[in-house]
Amino acid sequence: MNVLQVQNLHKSFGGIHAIDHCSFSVEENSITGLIGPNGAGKTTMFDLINGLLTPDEGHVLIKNQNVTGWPTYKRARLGLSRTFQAIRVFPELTALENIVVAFKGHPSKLYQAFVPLKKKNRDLEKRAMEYMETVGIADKAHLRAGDLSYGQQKLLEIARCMATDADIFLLDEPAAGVNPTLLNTIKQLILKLHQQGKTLLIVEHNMPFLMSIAHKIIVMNFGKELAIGSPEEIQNNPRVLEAYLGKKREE
Amino acid sequence: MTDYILNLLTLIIIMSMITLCLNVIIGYIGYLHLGLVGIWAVGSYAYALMAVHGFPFFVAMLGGGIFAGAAGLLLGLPTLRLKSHYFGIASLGLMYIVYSLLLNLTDLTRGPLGIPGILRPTLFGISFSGPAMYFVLTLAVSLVVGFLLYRILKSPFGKILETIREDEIAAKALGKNTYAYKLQAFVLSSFFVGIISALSASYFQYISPTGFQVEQLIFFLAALMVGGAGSFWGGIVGAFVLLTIQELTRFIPLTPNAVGPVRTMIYALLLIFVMLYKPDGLMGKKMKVYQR
Repeated sequence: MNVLQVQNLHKSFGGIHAIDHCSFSVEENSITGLIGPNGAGKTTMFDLINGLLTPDEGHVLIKNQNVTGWPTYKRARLGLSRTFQAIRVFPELTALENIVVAFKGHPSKLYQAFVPLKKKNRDLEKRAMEYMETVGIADKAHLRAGDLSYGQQKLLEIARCMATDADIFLLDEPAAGVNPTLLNTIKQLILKLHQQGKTLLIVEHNMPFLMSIAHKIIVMNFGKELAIGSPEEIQNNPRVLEAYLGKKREE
Repeated sequence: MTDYILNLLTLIIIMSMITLCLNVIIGYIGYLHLGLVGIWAVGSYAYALMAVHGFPFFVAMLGGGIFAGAAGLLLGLPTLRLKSHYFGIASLGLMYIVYSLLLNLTDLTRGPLGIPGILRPTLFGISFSGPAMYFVLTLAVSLVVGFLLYRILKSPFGKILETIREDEIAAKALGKNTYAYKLQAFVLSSFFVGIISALSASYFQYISPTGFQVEQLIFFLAALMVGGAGSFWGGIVGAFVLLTIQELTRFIPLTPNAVGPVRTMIYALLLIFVMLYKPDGLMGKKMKVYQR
């Protein structure tokens, strides 16, 4: 079953067609890679899928529901979560608070300011600690999130997505700028999420990393899907090579 | 002398409570709210008109809160979709709109003449008109308002407001209806400004449109910057510091026409020092008015 479908999606900024009638689908419980040269429209595609941008044409379907006109927060409640290319943690909150606010059961209604919540808050903090342990930054729980290292913030962002109870994860360059050890941690985390039955769509430039975990790769170029296939098919696809390396000179 | 000090303390409490309400918007959700004085004016006039027409004190006070809250809702509905600095300009517009309404709706507001004779209340047979009793009343109401706001800002609801200041896009991506939170915070802040308006209008016993202009806005903004936006005590401390300094300038022997400029200079110096050495304000907490 396809949990995420993009149908004939189009988005222009002025005269530039950032996304040019692009279509693809993502199967449930798969790891799908989304690659393409810089400026191919990958991040714009993420913004369209999670509703930060609205498309000019076409549809986005999440779990067979047409969510094209929906605001971002409603899509998130449907089980869609994402990380950002430029990390977006809440720097002034502690790492633990970053996760606590993401819970669906977070008692953040206004009237709840006046009901006793001590026990509930303790439970939430305990659950948040479990997520911190899963990603391996439990010892940093009470630090300002902004004081964590770049890699730790990336892990925190993924943990925060997990805490929303999402089952579709859009990861925007999870491997960018991290050292090999952390890269391995992130890889294990992604595989674990997959084992738990989650669906992952990953934008990444680190090919060995992506090819080693992805079941399917979607290649975008100039806002369009250029090729869709297994990692092996993609690696041998002449059109993909052309998009990345340029055209062979005619002899 | 005691009367003088009690009057001053009463004024400090009133101004610090309004700064606290401003802090809810600027410090917690991180939106540059420049319409505060407009909201304050609506609350004050609503209270004053009800009071001079014989409504009981607490009813008129609630009226001030409700009218100010409604003004906040009207301002927030269209403008809270804007980003912070655009919101700043739009909300500043409210202040000017309210000002010209107060000047020109002469049948209701008496225009530039203002509304005199706003009496301090007599409750349960006790008159609260003397400095001591009015101080007690102000303190009591402010403690209630302060406690309510404290509970709200320290609650999970308050945490979500902070995530909006920190990163609104991320908050949305986590499934938070940020617009609804912003609107609630805005109505809440405006409502409490309206409640405090009752105290301020009765304190001065006279209100006119000239009392609700940029000058007052700058005082509240300066108080919040000095105290530290985003920390609960920030606005309160800031208002306390600024008003104390303002009063101390009275004791400098100056010719009357030099008092105003000297005061402004002292404000400016204080602001520059705070910006240089304690940019997060005295109560310290980083603030980020401008959204990414």
